[in-house]
Amino acid sequence: MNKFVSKNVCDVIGFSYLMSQLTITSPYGYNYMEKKFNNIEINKAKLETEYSLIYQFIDILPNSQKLELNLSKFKDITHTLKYCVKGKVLDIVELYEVKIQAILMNELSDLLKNLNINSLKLESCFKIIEILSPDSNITNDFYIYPCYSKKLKSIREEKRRIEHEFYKTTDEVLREELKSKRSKYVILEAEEELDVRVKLSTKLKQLLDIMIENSIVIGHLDFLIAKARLAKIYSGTKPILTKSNLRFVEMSNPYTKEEVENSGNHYKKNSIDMNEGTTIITGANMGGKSSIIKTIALNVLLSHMGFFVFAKKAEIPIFYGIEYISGDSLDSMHGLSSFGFEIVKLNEAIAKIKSNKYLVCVDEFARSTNPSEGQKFVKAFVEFSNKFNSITILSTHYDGVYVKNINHYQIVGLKENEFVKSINDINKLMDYSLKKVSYLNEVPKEAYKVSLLLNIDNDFKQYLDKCYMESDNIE
Amino acid sequence: MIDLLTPYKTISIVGMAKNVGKTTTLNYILKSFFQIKKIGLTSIGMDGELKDTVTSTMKPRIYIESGTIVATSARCLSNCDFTIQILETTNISTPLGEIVIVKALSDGYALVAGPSYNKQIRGIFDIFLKYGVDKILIDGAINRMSSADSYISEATILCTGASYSSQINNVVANTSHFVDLLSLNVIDNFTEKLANKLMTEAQVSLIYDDFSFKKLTMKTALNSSKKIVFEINENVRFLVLRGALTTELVNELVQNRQKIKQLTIVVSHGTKCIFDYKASENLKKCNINIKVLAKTNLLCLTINPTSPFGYTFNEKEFLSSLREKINIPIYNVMRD
Repeated sequence: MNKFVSKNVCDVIGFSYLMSQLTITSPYGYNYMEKKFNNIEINKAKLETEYSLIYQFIDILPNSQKLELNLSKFKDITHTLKYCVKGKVLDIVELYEVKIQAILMNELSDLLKNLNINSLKLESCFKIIEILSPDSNITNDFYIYPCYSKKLKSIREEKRRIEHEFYKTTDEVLREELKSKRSKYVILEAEEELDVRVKLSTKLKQLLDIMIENSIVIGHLDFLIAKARLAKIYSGTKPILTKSNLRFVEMSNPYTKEEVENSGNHYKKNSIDMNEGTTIITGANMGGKSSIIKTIALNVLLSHMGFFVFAKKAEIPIFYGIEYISGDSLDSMHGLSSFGFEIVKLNEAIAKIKSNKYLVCVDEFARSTNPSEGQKFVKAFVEFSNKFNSITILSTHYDGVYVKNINHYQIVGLKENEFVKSINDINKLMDYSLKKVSYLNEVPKEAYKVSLLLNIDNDFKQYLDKCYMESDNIE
Repeated sequence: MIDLLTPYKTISIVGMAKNVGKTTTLNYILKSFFQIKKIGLTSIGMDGELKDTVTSTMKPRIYIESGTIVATSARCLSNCDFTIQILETTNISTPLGEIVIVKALSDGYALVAGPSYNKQIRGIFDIFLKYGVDKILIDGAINRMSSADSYISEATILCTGASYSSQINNVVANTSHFVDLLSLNVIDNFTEKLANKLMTEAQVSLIYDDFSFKKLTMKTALNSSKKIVFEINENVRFLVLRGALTTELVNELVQNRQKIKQLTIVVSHGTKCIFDYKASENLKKCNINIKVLAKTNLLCLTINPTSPFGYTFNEKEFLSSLREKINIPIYNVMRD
């Protein structure tokens, strides 16, 4: 079970989508990825090593076809290997699979040497192949070879002699006699084959740990090729691991980018600089606040799984995990209202930031509750979370939640004096740029603007204007 | 009989019921090819246990020659008594384990349980050819009539016998009905193209007089007969079914014959027709034809006049009644 981030959040931020784009070819690659995902590295040195390996593999990609063809031939026989190490006698199909895989591992080892990849090494399986290919001639098949046992050889010869006789004769009595004679030899052959299998399994028992270790290296290799390809396709950058600050220059999220571009719009890459404590993002509805938070969370998660990230430049500190509080990620509310559930999640996040450094993403907290109360919760959390060494990024469209010295960004929002007919056109008029603002900036009254752009009914507009006037007077 | 098989590379053997002599037929063919042809052997699905649980008689087993290539599931290997050489594994999994390709290094008995799906078996054929196989034999397990589809085999042998029913007339009528189904005519070229396309897109579709069409939305043709018949009117010329033409649908059509002027039902293969000869006669009366996209090449019929339930038909009578109705060669491989 992954403690770093929940599966649901992975779906929401586009991580699952990216993982489905990976070109992993072997079952060992998938096993490795799953293991890494369930046990995310918070070790700076190990991550740095992984990043430098990705660099190496990006260079190898143009020549990786043979490597990947070899990888695609692997089957997951971990269970067979482990059982044999524990003392189980392998059957003929299992022995065949061990032999084929040992041959594949040796081929892969040669391929790695040819490509000058010294960082990943496979142990030689030659001894295993030798046991399963006794006539020095290595073939891609397997049977209980007669040279394993003289006794077996003579049993088979006798059995074959009976079969020939059986084939030739038409005498029914003799045929029946030969049949029962043959049955005896069938049993003798099976017994002797078992004896050979026991001996072979005992010999292999000492050696199969090599293959188990190799299978982990193969998984890592497969995962690295996939990581390198992903980095190449989406122009990934090696993240710089920092002590405290989180900073992105022109970051992007392939998942959202594809969605935006598929609907014919321009995707805006944004930059953001966050210190320990709280950063707030304000802006109108539809302004892309959630998208920015998702992009930050995605890139932090990727960096911690040893991937390159999607930004021109990225400085990322090591976190213990990602807490994500949003209406989008309400996996299972356990019968609570959405606000109730947000509170439960908030409490969990608070407990965590009290003990370790986390990335806390809060998207439109308390949006479903009454605004004047919701605003108080947001303001309180902004002030509270600012005291910890975790990094909290919080988006809101509530007015008046600003606190002095809080890092504050705003989405620029709608361009003035434009006329639109449909909701789709709004995308074109929206400026999704993120700009740093001083704390006195107000949330722009974009809802009013949007309604005007969408040709709100004139009679209704008079009532609306009246309400806005009244509230301005109160303020 | 063996001469009939000469031109074909893939031959399937299917049975009307259990104990109709399918394995005996298969062994007869295998023996005829001993030391002459290199055989590849597999099956679609598996008939089941070695001993017939219904009748407690030992079923005959398939006996193969050294050099034969067999595609069977891993767990069946312990029931094969020839010396086994593993050539490769396939990643095709079945309830009895993965399908493995083995070579017989001696003569011996084989238990064959091949892949469950038609598509998978085509992959097996490619592997057989790689190992230089001359002829591929497919043991069509009971309820897996699809091995007779021309998609799978170039030629088919049908086995029938006394174990189908104790009433000789019943055996003859149903065998002849099944032969008719496998011999159904292929639809004209023009309609074939349209029907083929519709079959890939919808479970059930209708083609009208003017060759406009309508795709009916239903998850499966099973239990949806009423819905289909409801959509049929005088202008419908073809009813195209991706799945099976069932007794239920036939009956529903017959009951509503006043709605039908001239209807042709199109199915992919004759094996998709699951109804008895009585239903078939009713269809003919209502002016409803059935046509197929591809015809089965039915070479011959083999018979087993003895039932494991303890009764035997008069062989001559059985043969002559069958020959009266069926126009393909008929053999008794039990005697030959």
